[in-house]
Amino acid sequence: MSRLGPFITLAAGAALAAGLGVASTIAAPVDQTAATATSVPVAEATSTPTASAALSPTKSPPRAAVKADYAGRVRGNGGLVAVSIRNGKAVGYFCDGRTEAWFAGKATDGQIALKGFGDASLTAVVGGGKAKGELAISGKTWNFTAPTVKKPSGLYRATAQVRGARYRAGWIVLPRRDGNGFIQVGAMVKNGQPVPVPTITPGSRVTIDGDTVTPKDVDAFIEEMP
Amino acid sequence: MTIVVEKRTAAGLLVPLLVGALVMVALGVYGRLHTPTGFAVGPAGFSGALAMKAWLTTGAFLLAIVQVVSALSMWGKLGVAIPAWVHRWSGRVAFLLTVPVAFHCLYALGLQYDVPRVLVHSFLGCFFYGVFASKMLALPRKGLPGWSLPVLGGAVFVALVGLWLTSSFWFFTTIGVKF
Repeated sequence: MSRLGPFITLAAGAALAAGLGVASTIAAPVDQTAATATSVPVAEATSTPTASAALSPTKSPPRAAVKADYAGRVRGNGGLVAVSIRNGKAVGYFCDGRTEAWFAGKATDGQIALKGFGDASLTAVVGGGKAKGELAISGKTWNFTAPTVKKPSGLYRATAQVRGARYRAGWIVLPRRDGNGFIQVGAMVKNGQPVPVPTITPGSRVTIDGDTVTPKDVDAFIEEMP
Repeated sequence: MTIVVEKRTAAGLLVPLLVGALVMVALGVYGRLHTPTGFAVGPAGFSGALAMKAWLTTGAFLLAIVQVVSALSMWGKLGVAIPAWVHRWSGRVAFLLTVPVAFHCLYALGLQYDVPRVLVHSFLGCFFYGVFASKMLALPRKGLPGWSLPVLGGAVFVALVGLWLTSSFWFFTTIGVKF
């Protein structure tokens, strides 16, 4: 026994992994593109008769991730962060008025891992009305907790090419802690150079150097994100 | 009269270490090549996949402490005799507890290195199973140097502690202690 024991241990581990693999293949949710606003995939997965009673899909309901907007403060650096999810695609934005970073990626299984420019990244776990995670920019990391937000709070982005000038801007709008109105932070670059950012009123256009740009909400700009 | 001299040589470690290295690389390659599904079957009863993984890893982590204590006793460092089955079974259970965790990691999420924590975790995970396989294969071999098993076992323990710190500890401190 003592000679065979270790081999049995390894074989048991491999068998368990193989069993989980087979069960996961069988119980895999239907194609994500079929997932709209309902929790159809989970209903199908849990009713798969071949999944044994001791096993269950550990996926959180995808409906929680179909459409969600989170925004909040980043602990320890004075910036705001916003994360929005639309049908498995996720975008994120960090801005403290000077530094800004855009993130894009996928949302799966209540987790999002987004990549930004360079080595910037944003990872979070979403669910229970909030997104909690880590933000990494230029080698530094911060934790954040961002609750669900409703319009007019949330993330806005503007890209425009006006008379040869290329603009890109982002804003995060949040309700004030005392409930009186909103705060917003944003940043704008014109031809790659930071320029003072105008304050926005969600839904209306802003003018910068005589040029007009339109801040778009997530539904309007998500398609243009990578 | 013949004197039987037991020859101890590190050459016997070659095959276990090679197989361990193969396991390690194979897991990493799989984690990179396999398209993460974002979905995996695992033990039920937790609020989500992350909670399940955090607690199973914590279970394995606690059993790993039992492993170190019982190993110290086995080598006569404690002065207390702990039965051999304690070491064997705590190890087996700890290993089996980690399998659904690693399965979810590799099948649903894949090997990633966007954030330092995730990078360290990904590599430690592959390392853990590689060293564990080496340890298991080295166990039944006779004539290995006396340091073989303590070094391999120690490496398994260090890897598991690192895995726990980069996953469960992060989960409990960032997300909160929840089931």
